[in-house]
Amino acid sequence: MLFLMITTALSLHSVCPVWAGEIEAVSEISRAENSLNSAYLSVLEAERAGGDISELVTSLNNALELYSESKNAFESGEYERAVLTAEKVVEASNIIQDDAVGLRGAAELHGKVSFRNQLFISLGAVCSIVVFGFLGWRRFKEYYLKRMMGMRPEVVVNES
Amino acid sequence: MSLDDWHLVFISVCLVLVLGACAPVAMAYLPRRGEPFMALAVLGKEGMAEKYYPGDDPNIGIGEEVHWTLYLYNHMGEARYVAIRVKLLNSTMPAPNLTSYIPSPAPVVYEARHVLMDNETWLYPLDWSLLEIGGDGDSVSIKGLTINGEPFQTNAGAVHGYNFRVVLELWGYEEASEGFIFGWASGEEYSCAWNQIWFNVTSAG
Repeated sequence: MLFLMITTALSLHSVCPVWAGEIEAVSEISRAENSLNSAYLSVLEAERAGGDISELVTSLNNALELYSESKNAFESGEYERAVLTAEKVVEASNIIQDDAVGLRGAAELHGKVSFRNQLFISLGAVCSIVVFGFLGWRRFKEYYLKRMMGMRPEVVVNES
Repeated sequence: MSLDDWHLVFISVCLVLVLGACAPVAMAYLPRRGEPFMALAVLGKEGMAEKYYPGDDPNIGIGEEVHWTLYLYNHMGEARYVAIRVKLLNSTMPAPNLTSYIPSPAPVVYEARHVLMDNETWLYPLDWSLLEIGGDGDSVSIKGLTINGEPFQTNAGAVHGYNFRVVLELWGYEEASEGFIFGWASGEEYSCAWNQIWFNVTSAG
C-alpha cells in the first residue's frame, strides 16, 4: 500500500505537486510514528533492565510534541512543514533508540554486578553467622557448664 | 533457663540473622507492587473539579473559551506511552463501553500523546472553543472547533444544540499488538478509562 502511494506520488509529482506533497507527508508522518513506537519500546526495555530513563522520557516527549506539530501542519495543508518536522521526529527517535540500547546494556551489566556483589555479601554474612554462632555457642556452653559446676552443692561432713 | 533452652535461643537468633542476610538477594525475586492502574480525570479552569464552563454556564457560544486540564496518572509499574483521544458526541451516539472495552465509534477530533514514567502525573491543558456551527431544521451541528489554538473540523449534530458531550478516552500503546488500544493491559487483565463533559450550544457568542 505504502509502495503504491509512493509510486503514485512520484508519477504525479510533475502533474500535481500538491498531491505528491500530501502523499510524501503521509509517508513521512507514518515513518515518524513507527520510529517513535520503536524508541518507546527501546526505552521500556532499558527501564526493565533497571536503567534510569527519566532523560530519555523527556526526549521522547519532546519528539512527541514535534510529531503533534507535524500532524497539525499536515491538517492545515502545510505539507512541506509537515515533512520537515516529521523528519526531525525520525532523527530524534533514532537518537533516543540508540541511547536506550546503550542504557539497557549498561543497566544490565550494572544489575548483574550488583546482584553478584549482593550475593557474595549475603553468602559471606551467612557463613560468618554460622561460624561465629557455632564458636559463640561453644564458648557459652563452656561458660554455662562451668558456672553450673561452680554452683554444685557440696556435702559438708559434720564432725561434731 | 536450662542449656537446651539456651540452645534453642541461639539457633533462633542465628536463623533470624541468616534470613536478614539473605533478604536483599531474595528481594530481587519478589514482586514489588500491588494493583497496577491508570487514572484519567478532567479538571476545570483552576485545576479543580469545578468551573468547567465559562461563567459556569454550560450553554456555550461561538468563540467562548473553555479551559480544562486533563489529569493522567500512571501506576503501572513502568513507563507508559498513552494517547488521550478527544471525541465530540451528542446524547444518542454510543459512548465508550467500560465492560466490553469498546471505544466510542465517533471520529477522533484531537489527540494528545505522552510518555509517563511510573508514578508520574501529567497535567495537560485543553483549551477549546467553538469555531463554526450550522443549523438544519431543529438540528444544530458543530462544524469546527479550536483546540489548543489549532482548528479542527467536526460534524456532530444535536437537536436544538442540546446535550453535546466531549468524550475523552485513554488509549495505551501495547507491545503485543504494536499499536494503541483503548485502555491498558496488565498481564491477563484489561482495563479502560474514559470521561465526558456535557454542554449545550447557543448561537449567541
